[in-house]
Amino acid sequence: MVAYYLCAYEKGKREKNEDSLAIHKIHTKAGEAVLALICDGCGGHHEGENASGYAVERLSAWFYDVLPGLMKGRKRRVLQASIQNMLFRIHKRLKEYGEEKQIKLGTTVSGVLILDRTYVVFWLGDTRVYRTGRKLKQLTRPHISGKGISRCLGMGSFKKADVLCGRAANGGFFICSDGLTGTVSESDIHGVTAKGAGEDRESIRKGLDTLVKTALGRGEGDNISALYLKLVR
Amino acid sequence: MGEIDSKYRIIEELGEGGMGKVYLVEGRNIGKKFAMKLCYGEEGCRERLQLKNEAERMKELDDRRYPYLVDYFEEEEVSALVMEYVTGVPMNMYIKKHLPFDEIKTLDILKKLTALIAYLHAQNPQVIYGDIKPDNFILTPEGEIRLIDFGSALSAYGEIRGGRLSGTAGYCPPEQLAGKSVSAASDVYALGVTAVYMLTGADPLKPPYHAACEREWPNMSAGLRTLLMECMDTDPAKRPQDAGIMLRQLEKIRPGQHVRLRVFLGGLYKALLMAAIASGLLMIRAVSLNEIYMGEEKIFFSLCGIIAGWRLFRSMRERRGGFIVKREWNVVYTEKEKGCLLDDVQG
Repeated sequence: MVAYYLCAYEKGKREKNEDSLAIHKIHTKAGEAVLALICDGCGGHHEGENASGYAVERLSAWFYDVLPGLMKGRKRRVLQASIQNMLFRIHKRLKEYGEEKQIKLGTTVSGVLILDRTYVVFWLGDTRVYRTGRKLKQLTRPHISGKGISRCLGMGSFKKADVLCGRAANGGFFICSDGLTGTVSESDIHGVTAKGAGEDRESIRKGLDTLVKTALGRGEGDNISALYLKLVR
Repeated sequence: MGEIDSKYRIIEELGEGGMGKVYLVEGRNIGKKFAMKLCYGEEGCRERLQLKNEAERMKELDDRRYPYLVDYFEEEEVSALVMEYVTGVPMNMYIKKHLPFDEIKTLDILKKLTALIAYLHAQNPQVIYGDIKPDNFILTPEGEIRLIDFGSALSAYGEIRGGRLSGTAGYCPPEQLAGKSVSAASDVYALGVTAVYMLTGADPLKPPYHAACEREWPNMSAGLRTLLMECMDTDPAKRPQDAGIMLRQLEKIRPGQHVRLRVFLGGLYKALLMAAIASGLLMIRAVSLNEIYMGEEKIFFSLCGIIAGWRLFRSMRERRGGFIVKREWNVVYTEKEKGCLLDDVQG
């Protein structure tokens, strides 16, 4: 069960915040569901905020309209296929929009879907998802090549998102955009989210604010977004 | 503000709307409290025209359920509308506190809201409210619901004033969002959205900015479900054409009637299942004793067993169904431009 969430949404030195972030929780007759998302508009391209915002809104609508019906059967394959299908539709619409306006726009996406004690992590791009607790474990492998991001929505041909499933009863999840991980180390993140660092919400809230300030202090110019989800039995 | 100052003393600010601020004022001569809307701007600007329109709409109303117009001023750079000060709890706060409502309570409130709008639709020329949402209704200490804020109300046949859309996203029907002409059926749509909000707890003012879809609706009587689906049809021609028609249909609905029927049918299916199990046991006994079993009854009980088993299986599946019972968190942070790529999300 997801007890609470904390988030950070910081523009940094950029004119606009091209990151978008969402957190939703519903209770259904088939159990509880939580969706946490961070999308990062691809840097150097147009309307990054519109691309990431559209992806977040579309996935949020999917969470409310489609997911409750899929929770009945709990079939992993059906759920993953539905997520991939939705990501493909977002990619297609972003490409159409880009062609209409003759611009290039794209967004990364990283999401954590929690259904009672089962989690599904899906990602395209370099926004990271960590599993927190006694150890900090990076779950996502960033899609980066020599030329930059190798997989995202809205640019190039559609490539399926990587998906990881598992069971989680305690600990938590930490999702963050590259604006944070560019200047803050994993040990800094672990220091905030580790079990011994103070489990109460307020201390983790202060730790998260400190991480953001540290990143900004170290000259980070990119937008910074982070989401922390705390699980309890 | 010479004339306004001479007649009224401002006590406190009550709030701020699209047209300007609303103040609690006291008449200097009579010592009675009123609400005053002040709108600053050049003469003929859209906001002042809208305030004047509101005064004209209020002047035509003669019903204690609506705030009466006390006075209207126009000075060089300001217009002021003085009206009855209605005390009570705004319906949006009342609804949020008691969400979600059961069908009976929802019907009770919906009938009162619809009756208020039906009166406007019955005027000649017809008055279209244009901005129905719980914020624009007040629940008085006497338990009465009253309508306030006529800034968006239109008369005649739904021209959009000043080229600007009135209404609130989430409650607006598609034709109003698209900038087309609105009609009384547009108000009916917003009443439907308000009812769905009360039943499901899903706030249409939050992303994804539309009423909860039918799959998320709780169990309710077939009559109410059908009516709400009609009210929220994207085609205005398929909705009840005004609030009066909607009110007559609401009054025909008997809440909970389906529940009694379901309970009866549930009991019947259980009885059939028991009969089928009993006949199956008797058959096994007969076979083991080498007896010839009754022919026609065997077929009858087998059919009963099949029907009852199918119903039980269906009801078990429904119980495990994923209909949303409660929305707890609904947070989105984005700097995406409003209206950009939005049509896909609404679809």
